Amino acid sequence: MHTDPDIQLMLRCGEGDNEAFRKLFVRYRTKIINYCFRFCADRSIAEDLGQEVFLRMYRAAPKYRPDAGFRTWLFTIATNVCLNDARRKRGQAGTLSIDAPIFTAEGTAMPEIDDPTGHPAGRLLDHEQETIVQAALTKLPDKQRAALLLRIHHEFSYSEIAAQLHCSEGAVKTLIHRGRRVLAEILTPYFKEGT
Amino acid sequence: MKTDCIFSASISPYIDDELSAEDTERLRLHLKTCSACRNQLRVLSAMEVQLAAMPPITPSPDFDRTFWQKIDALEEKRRQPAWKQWLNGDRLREWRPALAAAAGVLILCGTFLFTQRPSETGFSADEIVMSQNLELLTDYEIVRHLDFLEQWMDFSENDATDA
Ligand SMILES: [Zn+2]
Repeated sequence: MHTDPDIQLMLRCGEGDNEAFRKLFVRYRTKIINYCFRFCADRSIAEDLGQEVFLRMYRAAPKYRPDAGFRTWLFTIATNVCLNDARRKRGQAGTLSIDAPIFTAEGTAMPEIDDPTGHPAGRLLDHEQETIVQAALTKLPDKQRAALLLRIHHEFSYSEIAAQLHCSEGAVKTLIHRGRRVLAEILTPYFKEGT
Repeated sequence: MKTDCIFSASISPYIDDELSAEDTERLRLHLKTCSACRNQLRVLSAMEVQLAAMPPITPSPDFDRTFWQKIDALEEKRRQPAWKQWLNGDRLREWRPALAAAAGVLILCGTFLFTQRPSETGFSADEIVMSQNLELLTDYEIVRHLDFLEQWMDFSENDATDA
């Protein structure tokens, strides 16, 4: 017997209980949309990806087997959807454009990171800060970005992230380490302390 | 932020609380003596705060409605008979390249059969089979281009006479 209440709900979804599905949808939609949003940096695309995640969850319900925690399983679907989308777009455009506008939670679009000397720390507004961090995230390779978001925003363990990215825990450790180092190189000039 | 210290790669898992108790202790001791690692820990921890501070977005008001419409459409599709689901579904889309390839092979075979000129010595084996079956084929509606077949018959007869 599984004690995770979400697993119970998901098993009921598999038996055709739409109310159970609705509960899981309401519980997780904001988290999934936010994960997709921080991954792709576009609100409208994030909602499309979020829809795709829950459609896949709905279709998979009859075959669902509770091998992992429900949250890990759902974010595995979301990670696949995000990575596939990024791969498809790169296939279309040659490479992911880092000059594409970056959208903040407020919906304002700002261009690619510019000269950090124009942004003395302490004078940055919240949404400016968010835009700079989001633009830096967008520069990371897809798997590094996914691993960092799963760790920092969704607090998954390295072993859970390994399951989501279909790689070893050692590989996750490297992805997160490298992702942090690259982000730090980009962001340090903006957030220097005491200046 | 470049550091070549061998403990450098332990700092990120240390922040994530993913180091063993033993490795955590070893890193803590090392941090007391290595300013490069102390600096890296300080920078990465500060960045952690920036990342965690990114505000969440709320789904647009249309999100739920659009989603349940998609579920209704999915359920509607599931209620259709199996053959209709197959025709309208993803399965056919997956099969489309294979079907296109098969159609291409059929067209090639057809083109080969219909354009092969009779040999100098008379009819080829294909032509004999085809002429034997022509009467049979004309009984079926699926042979749409009968005029073409008839012209081909005339043509091959003339050709044979010429030879
Ligand atoms: Zn060191």
